Amino acid sequence: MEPGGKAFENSVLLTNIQRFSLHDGPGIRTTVFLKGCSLRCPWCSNPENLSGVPQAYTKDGLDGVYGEYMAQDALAEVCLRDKGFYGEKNGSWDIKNAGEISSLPGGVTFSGGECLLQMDRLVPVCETLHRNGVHIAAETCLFVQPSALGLAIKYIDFFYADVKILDETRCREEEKGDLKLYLSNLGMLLDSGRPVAIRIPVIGGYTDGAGDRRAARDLMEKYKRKILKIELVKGHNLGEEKYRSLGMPVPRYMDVDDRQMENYREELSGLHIPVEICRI
Amino acid sequence: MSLKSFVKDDLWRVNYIYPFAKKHLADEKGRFDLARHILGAYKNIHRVKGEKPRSVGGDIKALLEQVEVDIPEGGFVYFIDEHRTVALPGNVFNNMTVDYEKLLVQGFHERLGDAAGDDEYGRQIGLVAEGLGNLAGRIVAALKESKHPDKEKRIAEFENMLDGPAKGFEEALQRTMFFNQVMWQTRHRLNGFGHMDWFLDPYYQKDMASGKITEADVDRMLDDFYRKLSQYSYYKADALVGDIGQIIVLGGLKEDGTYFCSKLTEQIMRAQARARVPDPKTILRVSAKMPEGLMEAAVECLESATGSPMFANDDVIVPLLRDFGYEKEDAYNYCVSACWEPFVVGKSFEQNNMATYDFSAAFDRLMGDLDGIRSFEDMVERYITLNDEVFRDFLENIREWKWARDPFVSFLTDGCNDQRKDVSEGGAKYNSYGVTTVALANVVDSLLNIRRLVFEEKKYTLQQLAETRKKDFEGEESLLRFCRENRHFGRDDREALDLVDRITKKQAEVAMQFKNKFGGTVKFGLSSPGYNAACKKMPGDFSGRKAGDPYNTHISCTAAGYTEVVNFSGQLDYGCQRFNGNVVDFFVSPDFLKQNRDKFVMFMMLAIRQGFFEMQMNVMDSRTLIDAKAHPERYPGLIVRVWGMSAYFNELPESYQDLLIERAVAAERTK
Repeated sequence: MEPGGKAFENSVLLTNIQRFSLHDGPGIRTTVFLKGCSLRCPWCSNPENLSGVPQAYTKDGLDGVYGEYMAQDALAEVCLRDKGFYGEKNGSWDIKNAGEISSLPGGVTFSGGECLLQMDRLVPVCETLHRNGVHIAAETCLFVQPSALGLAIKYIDFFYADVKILDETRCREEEKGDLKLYLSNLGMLLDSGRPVAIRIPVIGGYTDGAGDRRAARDLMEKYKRKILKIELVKGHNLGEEKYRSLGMPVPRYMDVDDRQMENYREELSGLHIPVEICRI
Repeated sequence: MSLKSFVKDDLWRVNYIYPFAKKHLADEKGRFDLARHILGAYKNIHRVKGEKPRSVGGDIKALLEQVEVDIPEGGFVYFIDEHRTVALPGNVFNNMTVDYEKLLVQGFHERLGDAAGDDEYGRQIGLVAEGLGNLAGRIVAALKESKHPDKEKRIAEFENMLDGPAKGFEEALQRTMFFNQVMWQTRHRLNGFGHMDWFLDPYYQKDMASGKITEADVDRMLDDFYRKLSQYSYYKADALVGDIGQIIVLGGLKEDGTYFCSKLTEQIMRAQARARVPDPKTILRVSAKMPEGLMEAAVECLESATGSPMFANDDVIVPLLRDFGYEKEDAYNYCVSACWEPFVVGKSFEQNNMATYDFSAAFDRLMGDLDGIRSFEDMVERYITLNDEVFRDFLENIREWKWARDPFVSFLTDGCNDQRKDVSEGGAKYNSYGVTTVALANVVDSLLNIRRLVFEEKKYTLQQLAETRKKDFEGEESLLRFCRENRHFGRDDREALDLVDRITKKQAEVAMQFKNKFGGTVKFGLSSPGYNAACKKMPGDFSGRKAGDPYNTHISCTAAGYTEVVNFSGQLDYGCQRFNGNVVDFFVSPDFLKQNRDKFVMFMMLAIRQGFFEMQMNVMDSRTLIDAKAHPERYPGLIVRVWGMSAYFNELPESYQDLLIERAVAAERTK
C-alpha cells in the first residue's frame, strides 16, 4: 500500500530516530529522519531517504528494509524519552539573533529526506510534543507545497532552511526542483518571523562556483534582517555504503578545500550575518 | 572453609606476601609465571617481627623502626620501603580511607592523650606511636644530613608531625602524605585520600588570604603530590597492575543542603589531569546544585583521558545513605572505598569490596533445573528462588572472615577508643559489609530472550536451549546473533527495568536479613571489578555471551546511546541496601568530547537530574586502542579505565585489552 493509504493515516514513514543528537539544533536533541524527498540532489548523503516508500536493501550479505511506518503516538513517545535532556523552556523561543540560539532548549528535530512532505501527519506529534513543552526544529529544503509550509510555520519552532542551486534551469535538471516554488516558500518562511538559520551545502561543481556563490549572497542580502545565521556545510561521502546497499551508483563530486570555505565565508561577511563553517 | 579462605585467614605467618602477589592471579600469564612472582616476592619482601609474644602493634613498631628512609632531591618527603612488611593475623582492613583530618587538626600525640590507657587496646596504639615517633625522628635526622633545598621547612613539619596541629596548607599536605605512606607500609591496600578539598580547604583559604601561598604554589605542590603518589605503583597494585585505589573525593553537598567546592577543588582535579597518571584518581561528587563552571572544568579534565574524574550523584546517594541509617552528618560526608562504594571515613569498618557475587551462578543452576517450568513467570520465579539460595551460601562464606587487629586504624575510627575495642572486633560506629556483583545484565537479557524464543515464538524448547548452551552455541550462530542483537538491560525497556528491580529486591530481602559478626549487615551494588574474572569458568548465556566471555561491564549497553543508559540507570531502585556502587560506564571518543564540550557539560548537568548513581568514562577511540595492541611500544603512556581503576593499556592482560577495544568500537557505532 502506498503511504497515504488508510492503513498509514496515523503513521509517519521514517528511517531512523537518532537520540543524543548534538548537531541538529540547539541543545541535546532527538532527530527523526523522515523518508521521502522532493529533490534529487546529486550529492545527497542520505539516499535511503529519497524514495517515499519502504525499500529493500542488502548490506554485508544481510537483507533489510529502509523505512518503517511508525504510529504518531509511538513516535511522540520515543521523542519524549529524552525529555529530561532537552532542558527547560527558557523565555521566548522566538529569538531574533544568533547569540540567543544557545539559550534555546534542546528538543526534537525533524530531518530527512524532506520532512515537510509528511507535515500533515506530523501535526499530532507536534501537538503532543508542545503539550510537553518540547522545542521542535525542522531541516527543510523548502521544495514543498505552500500549504505544508504553512502548517510547518504553525507548529515548528526553529527552521534550518537550505540554499542549494539557485539557477532555475540547473535546479530543475540537476536537483529536479522548481526554483520559483522554493523562492516563494523562502520568502513566506522568512516573512513569518519564525527563527531561521540558513544551511548552504558547498559542493564542488554544483554550488561552489562564483555564480552560485554570488546568487546565494544576493539572496541572503535580500533577507539579511530575517536570517539568524548561515552555516556553510562541507560535503562528505558518508552515504557511500547506503548507496551500495541500495544498488545505486555512488555520486562523485569535487572536494572543496578549507581555504575555499574560508573564502566563501569572507564573501558573505559583508552581510553582517554570523557565518559558521560546518564539516559534518 | 575453602582452601582460599584457609590460606588467607590461617596461614598468615607464611602467607604474608599474598597482597603483593595477588595482582598476578589475574594477569593471564599462567601458573608458572605466578609461581615465579610468588618466589620473587618471598625473596624481595621480608616480614619484620617485633616484641615477644608477637602483637600487631609490636610488629608495626618494629617495622617502622626498620624501614629505610629515603629523602628525595626536592619537594615532599614520601617513600615506601618495598622490602619490608609485617605478617598480620588475618585479613587486613583495606579498600578504605583513614581519617587524615583527625591527624591534621590535632597532633597524633595530643590525640593519643585522649585515647591512652593501661589496657591492651591503649598499649597497642602506644606501640604504633613509638614506631611513628621513631620513623619521623629518623626522617628529621636524614633531612638534616640531606641536600634537600627546603629541608628547614620539611624538618619543622616532621618535628611537628606527631605533636601539634598542621600549621598550614603545605604542612597539611605533607602530613597527609606521611600517614598515607604509613598505611601502605603497614600492609594496608587500596588506600584512598578521602575528601581532600574539604579537609585541606581551611588551610588553603587561610594561607591564600595571608599571602603565604599562591595558586601557582599550590599547583606546584599538587604536581609533586601526584608525582610522588604515582610512584611504587607495582608495590601498591592489588588485583591487577594499576589497581591502586588512591582515590581523592572532591566537592559535594554539605549537611545544610548547599554544594561545597572551592578553587582548591578545581586545582586538585586539574593537577590530576596534568599529571596524566592513572592513579591517584579523583571522583567528583555532583549535584544539581553544583556550579556549572565546576562541571566544565571536570569535562575539560576528562579530555586528559586518565579516567578521572569519576562522578557520584549526591542527589541520589545521600538520601539512600540516610534511609540505610547513617546519621545525617555522616551521610553528607560520605566518601568512597577504593572504587565507588559509598564509605564514611573515620567512622566505619565497612569492607565494601569483600567479594564478588555472580548472578550467573543461579542462572547456571536454572539451566540444569528446568523441569516443571511452563511459562516465563515460572522461569523467573525459579531463577529468583535459586538466586536466593546461591546468595545465602555466598553470604555465609563471608560471614566468618577473620580480621587482623589494626591499632592504627582503630585509633582514628570513631567508636573504637571509647569502647576500647579494635575495629577488627567491631569497635567502629558502622560495621556493615559490602559486596559487588556481576552478570545481572547477562541474566536479565537471557531471561527476556528466552521468553521470546521459547514462550512467545516457540522456536525452541527450554531443554533445547539448555543443550545449545552446553555445546557453547556450536552450529547455532543465528541464535547467537539473535541474542547479541536483542539487548534489554541498559535500554528503554520497561520489562528489563522491572525484571532488574524484581531480582534485586528479592536479593535485598536476603541481604537485609544478614548479620555479620559485628551486628552489621551487607550491601550490594551492580558494578564490580570482577566482570572479566568471574566469567572465565562460566558457560555462555542468552545475552550473546559464549563460555568464558566477559560479562557486561557495570551499567552499560553497547547497543544503547548515552541518554538511554542514563535514563535506565536513573529508573533503577537502589534502595534497601542496593547502593554499594552502581556505575554507568561509557566510552567517549576524544574528538567527540573536544568538539562538543559545551553540550557534553549540558548533558552531564541534565544527567544528574535523571538520577544516575555514579558514572565513569573512557575517553578513547577504538583506532588508538587497536593500534596500541598491535604496537605497544608506540603507546607507553596510554591510560584506560578498567573498573574503578585506570591503568596503562600495555600492562593489561590481553582479554581486558580485547574487551576495551570491543566496547570502544560499539560506542562509536551507537554514537
